[in-house]
Amino acid sequence: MKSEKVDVLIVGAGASGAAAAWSLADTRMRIVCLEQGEWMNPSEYPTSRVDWESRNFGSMGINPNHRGRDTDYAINDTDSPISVANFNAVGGSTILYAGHFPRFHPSDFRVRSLDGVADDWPIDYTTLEPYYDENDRMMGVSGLAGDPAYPPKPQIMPPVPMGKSGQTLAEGFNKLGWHWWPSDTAIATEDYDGRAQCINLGGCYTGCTQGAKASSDITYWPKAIRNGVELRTRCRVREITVNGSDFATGVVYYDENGEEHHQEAEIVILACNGVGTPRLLLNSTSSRFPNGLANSSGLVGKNLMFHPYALITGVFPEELDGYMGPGVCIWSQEFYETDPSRDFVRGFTYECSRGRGIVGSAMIGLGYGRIPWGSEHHSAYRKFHKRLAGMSAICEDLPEEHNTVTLDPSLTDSNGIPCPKISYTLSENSEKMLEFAIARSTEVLKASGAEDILTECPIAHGGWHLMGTARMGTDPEKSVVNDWGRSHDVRNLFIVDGSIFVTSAGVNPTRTIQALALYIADSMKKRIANLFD
Amino acid sequence: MPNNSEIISNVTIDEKVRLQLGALLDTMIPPNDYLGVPGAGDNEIVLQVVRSLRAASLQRIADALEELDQSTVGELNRTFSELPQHEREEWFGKHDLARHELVRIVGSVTLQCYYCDSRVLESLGVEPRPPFPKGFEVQQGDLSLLEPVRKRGPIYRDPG
Ligand SMILES: Cc1cc2nc3c(=O)[nH]c(=O)nc-3n(C[C@H](O)[C@H](O)[C@H](O)COP(=O)(O)OP(=O)(O)OC[C@H]3O[C@@H](n4cnc5c(N)ncnc54)[C@H](O)[C@@H]3O)c2cc1C
Ligand code: SF4
Repeated sequence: MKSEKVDVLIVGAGASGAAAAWSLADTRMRIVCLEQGEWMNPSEYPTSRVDWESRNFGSMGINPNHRGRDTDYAINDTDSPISVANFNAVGGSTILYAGHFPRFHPSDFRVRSLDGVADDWPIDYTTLEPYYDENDRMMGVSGLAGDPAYPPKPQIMPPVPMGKSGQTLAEGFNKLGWHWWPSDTAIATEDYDGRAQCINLGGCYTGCTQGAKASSDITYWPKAIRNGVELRTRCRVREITVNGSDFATGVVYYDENGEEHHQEAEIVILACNGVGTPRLLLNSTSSRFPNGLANSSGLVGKNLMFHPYALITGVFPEELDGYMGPGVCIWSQEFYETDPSRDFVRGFTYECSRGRGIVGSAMIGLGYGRIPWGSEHHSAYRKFHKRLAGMSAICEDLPEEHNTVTLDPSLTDSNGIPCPKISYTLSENSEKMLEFAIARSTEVLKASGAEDILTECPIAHGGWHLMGTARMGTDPEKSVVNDWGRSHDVRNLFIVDGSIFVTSAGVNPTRTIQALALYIADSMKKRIANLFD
Repeated sequence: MPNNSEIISNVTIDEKVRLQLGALLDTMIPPNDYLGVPGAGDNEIVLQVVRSLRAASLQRIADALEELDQSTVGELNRTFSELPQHEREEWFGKHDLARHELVRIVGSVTLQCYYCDSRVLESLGVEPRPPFPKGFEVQQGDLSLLEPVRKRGPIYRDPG
């Protein structure tokens, strides 16, 4: 079935698709977004039920291979020590994200110049700064101005409470003379722009029932739709179609009933994340593009970056916050910048976390052999209950061409579309950085008073940051899109998600993904008269 | 791991399997009068565990429970579920049943159901209610602790 031609077609309604749609809406162009998932209903999120934690393991879980939602597609992760975590719905993975919201640092855009590894970005911090600010206002960022790990940035709302956990860890950092600061979060600590303030439910990872966490379904989307963008849900795009002049003509997609449609468009924008976007490009083959669309560089699907994580949990003698409060509280960037005295380049952020839930504490205790079955169970559990706090070390992952997203030869989704396969190995640099991060976090946890320390490295289920698989750059032989997100090969095709990252930095990516999406949308608006030249 | 995302309400098990499962779960998490908590073999919790297990795995579990039940007969002359609590615990430890596939399959579901039970939550000082809509109080923390961090000045690299 053929639908009426639109001006702009966006694929994916997650963090980046939402930001691009909202920004482009003021052009009054006819904009349609196709999203394979559905609108979520926050009142059905787990924290409105007593058994909220159990649903972490089921339909609100982070792994699409286990979640069992028909809006998901499977991802073959057997060739990777880290599996992909995502969510497919209006709001995309922001439905489940923790709302940790750091910016990149100025040095993150100059990795080759400063440290002689990977590549510099074709843009810098100053280019993105106004878009960071705009995105901060749209999402509603909480934090404390004056963090010495960053150039000055505006404060919109006060930071999330440190709680007993944050305060205990902060004292440990102070004893060692290390940097720490209240985390920047995409969590409203005051009523903000129609959203209610955080009431410390503690279930951010399973969707925020209160609406305090800035998932893009409740921030950008209502405004974009009000401004005329059409969002079609349960529409799964199979491929991008092209004409003989190497222009995209639209996409082929399946609706909820499995019916095939061809949606024509003047401009196609991909926002399917660092796995979904290369999957779609690789599925879009034709005689002109036998290796997938926009892939003359051969780099579509290459350079997959995750951020290897180490999880370090301390068991404290006194009661802390338990699961109450947002998972995020304070961070440390003591080891963020390259230090030539270490045996690795680049660095990492410690993101401190509060405790686990009631069930989660039991699971972790059992998993680490600290809580047995039998009569000792109760006393051992009580040593864990509300007594856990710690941190994850989020390590910069450097781009390596052998870390890839390819198409699985046999796995398909419910519409018969080939599914992605990821192949990934931890680099030596990452392994050394992780080892260092665990050693230093052990010191700080001990300084904070922890009596027992549990570590997991890498976090095997922690592939929640998906970057680098359609990188940006000025050289068409070494990049997929140019310095404002346009494909080098197909001049009316744009990418706005984390695929275009050149390097990953040592921080969570979503604030930068959205700032980039706003920057690309703005670049398109500024060039609208000669967009395809 | 069983997919216990959705509660399967129409699952039933016969009385014998219920008793066998109850005996195993009570061995894993025994009742404790001092703390005022039921064991995981408590009727309501067993029912919740059964509902949360995948229907497809129930027959396998029933077979494994029967096997476990019979395993004590030769040595102790009674089935596992007929043994008193302390003897079951002894058997469980001696035969390292924590590693048994059956225990692994029911283990995580048991924790999920046990630690949602209102009696257990109350004994931990936790109000048995969903987090939403009341939420929780979390202390703000002392931001004056940042003084030494501020004093140090900027630590980021300016690439110029
Ligand atoms: C558990 C978890 C915790 C996280 N915590 C944080 C955090 O604290 N801080 C942070 O910065 N980041 C965090 N992230 C990552 C963050 O969610 C992502 O970086 C962000 O959502 C990526 O935005 P995106 O637009 O690139 O992709 P997504 O938000 O993933 O959106 C992509 C959308 O595209 C749709 N799509 C894909 N393919 C197709 C197709 N063929 N047809 C139609 N639709 C399609 C998908 O359904 C999806 O909705 C977390 C993620 C997870 C899963
Ligand atoms: S802690 Fe705050 S942000 Fe997280 S789910 Fe609860 S109300 Fe939402």
